[in-house]
Amino acid sequence: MSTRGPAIVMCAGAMLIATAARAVTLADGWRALAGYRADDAAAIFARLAQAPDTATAREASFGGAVALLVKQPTSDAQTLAAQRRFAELAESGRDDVGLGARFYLARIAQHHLSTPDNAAAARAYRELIQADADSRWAQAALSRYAMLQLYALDETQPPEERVNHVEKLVPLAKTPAAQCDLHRAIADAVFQFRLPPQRALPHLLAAEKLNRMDAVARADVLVQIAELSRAAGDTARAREFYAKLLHEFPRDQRHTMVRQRLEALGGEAGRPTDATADGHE
Amino acid sequence: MHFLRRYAALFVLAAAYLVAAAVVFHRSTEKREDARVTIRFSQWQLEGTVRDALDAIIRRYEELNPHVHVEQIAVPDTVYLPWIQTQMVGGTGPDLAEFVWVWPNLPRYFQPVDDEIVKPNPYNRGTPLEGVPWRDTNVDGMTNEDSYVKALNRHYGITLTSHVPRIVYNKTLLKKITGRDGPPRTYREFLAVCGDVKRYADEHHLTLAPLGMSKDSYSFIMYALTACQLTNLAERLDFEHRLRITDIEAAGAYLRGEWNYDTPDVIAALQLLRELGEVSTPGFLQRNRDSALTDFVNERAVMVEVPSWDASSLLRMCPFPIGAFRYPHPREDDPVYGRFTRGPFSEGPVLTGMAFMLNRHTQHREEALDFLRFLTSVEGATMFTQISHWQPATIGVKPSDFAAQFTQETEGVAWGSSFMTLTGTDAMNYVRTHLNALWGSGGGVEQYRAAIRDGVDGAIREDLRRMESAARHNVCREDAVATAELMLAPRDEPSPELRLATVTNERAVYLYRGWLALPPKP
Repeated sequence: MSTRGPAIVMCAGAMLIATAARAVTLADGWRALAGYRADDAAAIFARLAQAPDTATAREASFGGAVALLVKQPTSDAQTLAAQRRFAELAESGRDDVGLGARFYLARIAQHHLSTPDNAAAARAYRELIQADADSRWAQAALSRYAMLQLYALDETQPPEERVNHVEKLVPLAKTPAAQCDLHRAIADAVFQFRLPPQRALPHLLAAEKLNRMDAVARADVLVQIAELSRAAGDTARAREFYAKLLHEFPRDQRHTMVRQRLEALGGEAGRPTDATADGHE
Repeated sequence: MHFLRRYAALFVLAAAYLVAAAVVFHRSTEKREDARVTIRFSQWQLEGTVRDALDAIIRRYEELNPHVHVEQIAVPDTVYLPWIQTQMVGGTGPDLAEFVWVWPNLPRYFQPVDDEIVKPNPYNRGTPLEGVPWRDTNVDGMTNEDSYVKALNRHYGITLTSHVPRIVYNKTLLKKITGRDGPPRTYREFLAVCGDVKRYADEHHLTLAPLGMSKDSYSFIMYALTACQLTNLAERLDFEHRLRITDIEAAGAYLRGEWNYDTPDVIAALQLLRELGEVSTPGFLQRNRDSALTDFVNERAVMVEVPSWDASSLLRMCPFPIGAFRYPHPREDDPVYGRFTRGPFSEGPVLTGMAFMLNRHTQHREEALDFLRFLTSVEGATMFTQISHWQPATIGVKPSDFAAQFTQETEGVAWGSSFMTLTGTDAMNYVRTHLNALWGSGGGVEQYRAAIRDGVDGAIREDLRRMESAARHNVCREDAVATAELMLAPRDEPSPELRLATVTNERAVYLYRGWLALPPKP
């Protein structure tokens, strides 16, 4: 014991020094947030917000505000504290962090506050788009701004006009994801408002071509295009998209109905679903 | 002697201490000698021979992997949820845990497996699934709700089986009463068989029901029955032109006044349900699943409606031969119900379940994943179905002969809504708690419609308020995760996309608010 004791103490000391030497980084904070550990993220960003390096401190301040929005238990007071920090960041620069802060000012007003402030959200979205429409923040914001306009901003405005208004956002979308999301948001609204469904078709076709959807959404879009084309008398396109569904989604539950439709169109009904693929003999 | 008597208790105590110490020492020594990695998994399927199947799979896995020891923790379903939640919160959870519904804050306790499921399963070497990504070896491609958590856009669970309800029948009794060798093939034949059984019971003064039923099992047949009967209504409500509608959309359509309990299709579906009640065990809404199974085993019911997870237990218990068939839903040629429906009917897509999830804090991630790979390999899944008589979830694996009677019918029409679940919790419970007005003595279709007409609207709204809040919180949570992932992207090549909650998930917030804003029904 007399010889092992000091060795143990020295080892422990070395480990403590090593731990202290491994400083936390911004990536540690973002990783914690990506792993749903907002408490840890907030603590990391709070430490880094005191960093002498301005860029690190600025991003840490931004990260701390994002963490504050989801740190449990959430409250409007906490959200408003985050909002103040985002406002400071937005005012102090048009860099990536400043644009991110503008994005969050819109999101706070749209969703994070218990009572949404739709007008403020719309204003913040417009400011973000005006500041840098091509930024990744503005591109992601387009479809969310569209939903705000379609469903919440002015409920006295006739649905037809809301859709017209939102369609003007389409040229601003530059990334495939932003374009796809925007077209889908518009098509969804056409159905939701029970407008003439053919109005949705060009948006569905554009979204399908861009193909930045999850599998469930893509399968739905293929069927929607086929159904609307059939109703419009465009049997060639209807057949093409019914066939796409059968081919791309061999286990989709709509196979029988799609084959019934194809038979009614007088086309190739397609083979039955590959039985083996569904786990049957 | 006096000394011995005086200190006898002390001697006994000392002896007990020594024995206990020896046992502890012995076991500790044993543990130290076992150099194997131990992984534990918990599950709550105590039916039939499921535990035996899992034990056999463990034995085979340990043969192939001598450095790993696997422990199965089987917990009764009645206590599984509080048990596993306590374990996970306390940090003593098993490496793998079977998923159970209503699990809040799932990502806090479990880790996603998206990176793993795109790799081939090495245990499928030498089989047709060699080289196939693990995800694509599952019959539903891991698209089921237990595997793929839509709100988080991540895969968490690896599933093992699937289930469907069937009517199991006593072959001997059916033959004796009706002269039939096989089950009824149409709805009218089914009603005729039930009529024969009732007459036979009356003539012989027997307590004998055509169909054994319980409060635990009726819902399976009820949902399928209304879903099949209401296909034409579903088509009329498919305003999004997707050839499918969800239960939530059906609830939204109800609030919009696009259907109600005076709609002829709905009245017909309720009449069908009423007829189901008339051939079922009297008072089944008060009887649990064990009562229904006991009735069947003791020949107080010729048929019994069971989910396939219970059927394998019947195989062990019944002293007579049994068979199984799917409920014969009325088709287009039925004189009463045919005009409301269009088949043939699918039972929907195969969606697998019994999902195992990986503990976020496991010390043995690789070993736990490896065991899951074996469990769902061609060899593991074959062992599972042959011993448990449950369905396999692995493509190409043939179900056992008995399990084959429970293979889901995936070909056919399936619109996706039963019109009885609606928005879930409150609305579903409201519709179900009033079923005594349909099936109880003095009940009927008119009584049921009168009982629920005034309350469904309010129950849907209660659900929608919760769903709107949950959808909004999900959007907020995903904002933060998307931002974190964006900021983690390499700085010299920044990812141009901020992957927020999907358009569909964010639109749900507005959809629910829009429905809630509709004026309540008078």
